Amino acid sequence: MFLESYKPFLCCLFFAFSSPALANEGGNDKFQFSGFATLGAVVSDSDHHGYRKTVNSDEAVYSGEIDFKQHSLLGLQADWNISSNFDFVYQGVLRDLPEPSFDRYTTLAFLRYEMNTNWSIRVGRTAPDIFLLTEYRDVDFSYIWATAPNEVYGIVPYRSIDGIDVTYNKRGFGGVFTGKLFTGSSETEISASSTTEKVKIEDVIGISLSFDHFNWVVHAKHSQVNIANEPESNAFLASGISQIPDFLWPNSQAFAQSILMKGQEVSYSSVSGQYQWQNWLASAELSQVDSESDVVPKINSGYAALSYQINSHQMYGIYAYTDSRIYDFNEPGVNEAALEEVIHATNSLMNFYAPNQDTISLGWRWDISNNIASSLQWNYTTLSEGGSTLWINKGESHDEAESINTFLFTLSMVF
Amino acid sequence: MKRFNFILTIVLLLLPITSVQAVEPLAVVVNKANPVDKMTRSELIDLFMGKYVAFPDDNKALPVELKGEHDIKVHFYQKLVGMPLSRVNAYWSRLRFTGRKRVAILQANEAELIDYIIANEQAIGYVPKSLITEDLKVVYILNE
Repeated sequence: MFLESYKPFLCCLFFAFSSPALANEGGNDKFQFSGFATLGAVVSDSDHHGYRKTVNSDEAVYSGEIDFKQHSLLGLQADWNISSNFDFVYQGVLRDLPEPSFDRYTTLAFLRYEMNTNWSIRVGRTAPDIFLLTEYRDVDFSYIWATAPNEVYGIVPYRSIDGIDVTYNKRGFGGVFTGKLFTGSSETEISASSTTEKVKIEDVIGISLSFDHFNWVVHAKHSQVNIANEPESNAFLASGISQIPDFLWPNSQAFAQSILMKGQEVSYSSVSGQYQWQNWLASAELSQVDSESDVVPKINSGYAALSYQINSHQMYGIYAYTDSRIYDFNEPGVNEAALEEVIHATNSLMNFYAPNQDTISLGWRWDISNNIASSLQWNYTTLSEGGSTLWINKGESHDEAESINTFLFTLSMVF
Repeated sequence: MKRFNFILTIVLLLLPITSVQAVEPLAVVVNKANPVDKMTRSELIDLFMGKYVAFPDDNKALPVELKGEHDIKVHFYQKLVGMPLSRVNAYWSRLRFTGRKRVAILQANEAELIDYIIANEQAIGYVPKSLITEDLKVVYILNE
């Protein structure tokens, strides 16, 4: 990927300009260090469905356990103001990852050129502007909730995009309009109960529009990506199905072809808004994931949230949902009795990206100081049968409907 | 008497968070050579909240801030956007840690902040009204 190719260059650039000598020489207006951190604890009451923050994670939290790894992280950032038009930003976020590496820990590494007040261009690694919070969902201090709603954000595994974006800003109609076009590629891991798959995307093309009127803001975003590699699970199952003779599975090769993902297009769309009125803050987002691939169904998700501030305390409630079709094997003419295991594997694969659940959350955020906050949140999740994509199943075949209580506590800070 | 004691307690509790600097009007100042003569509150909100970092003539601005949790900074944001510094920091953490916006120039104290504005034509900052000198141009007064 992009960063792999340019890693030596970026490392040299970062370490060269992060040396204290140069920082002092440049003055404190040239170079700044900052960071963010979260200490997060999670308990959940399911014996079968393990809680996880996103589909990246290969570990989960079951009944009787207390977890500190899902939400805890440390982010460090260096901003180098090269000139009035150029700046360079590097950010690394240390967190629990299924396949840790310098590349995965690096979330931002870009050079920005501000052509004028209205136009700017960034080249390098940037945060994905797919849904409202995807750019800053790991900066827990920046929003009220203990975590961004899993129903919308749990399914998005990407933490960065290597490429280029162009942003246009303009004041008008009493507010500020912002439009951004971006393109690039990315790679990440997606985990299930017994496997972790590398997923690469390329030819990412996206647009992000917003109008900000200080106490209210609306956003519309759309992006599409091409899947650049074939997940091993898909390739393995397709290979097996394609070898089944026609008398057991007519046209098995055509079906095998339909479960391959490489080259398929996936699109992400979202509309969202936020309104602040005195001590009240209301926000809502509707999102959709759609695909040419039979393996990734159309996923409709959303949330609505309301919070009320009393001095340094904010009480909030969130309702979030995600809905997608559940695949139930019904291919014509297949000898199901003879192919029981293959059909089970097909059902599992076809429902891998099919979350179906809703969650009611109640929480309390306390701004302990100007840079430190705690959030305590209770989630009550109603999980539909076969819709546990966002969780990890302890029992391989256990994917029944269940209601789950999850308690999250985060202590977040910026510095 | 009980009511008097209660009010006195409240007043005493509030005293430490209302410093002399905090009640003094704050002036938003720019370089003397800057062609902009005045700015509206809405333009200042856009500028200091990172929404549109420019002067009314669309020339790029360089906001300058005091480091840390200075009383002046707390007072400025409370008056400008009606938010405590914790919420301003939460808001800015979105802009900063997504790399959407360049961070403000930070200075250690008022004297250095004023020196920076005098030396940079694009700079804009805020200082207590008593610190205004002939080398600075006032474009807005808060809390007057």
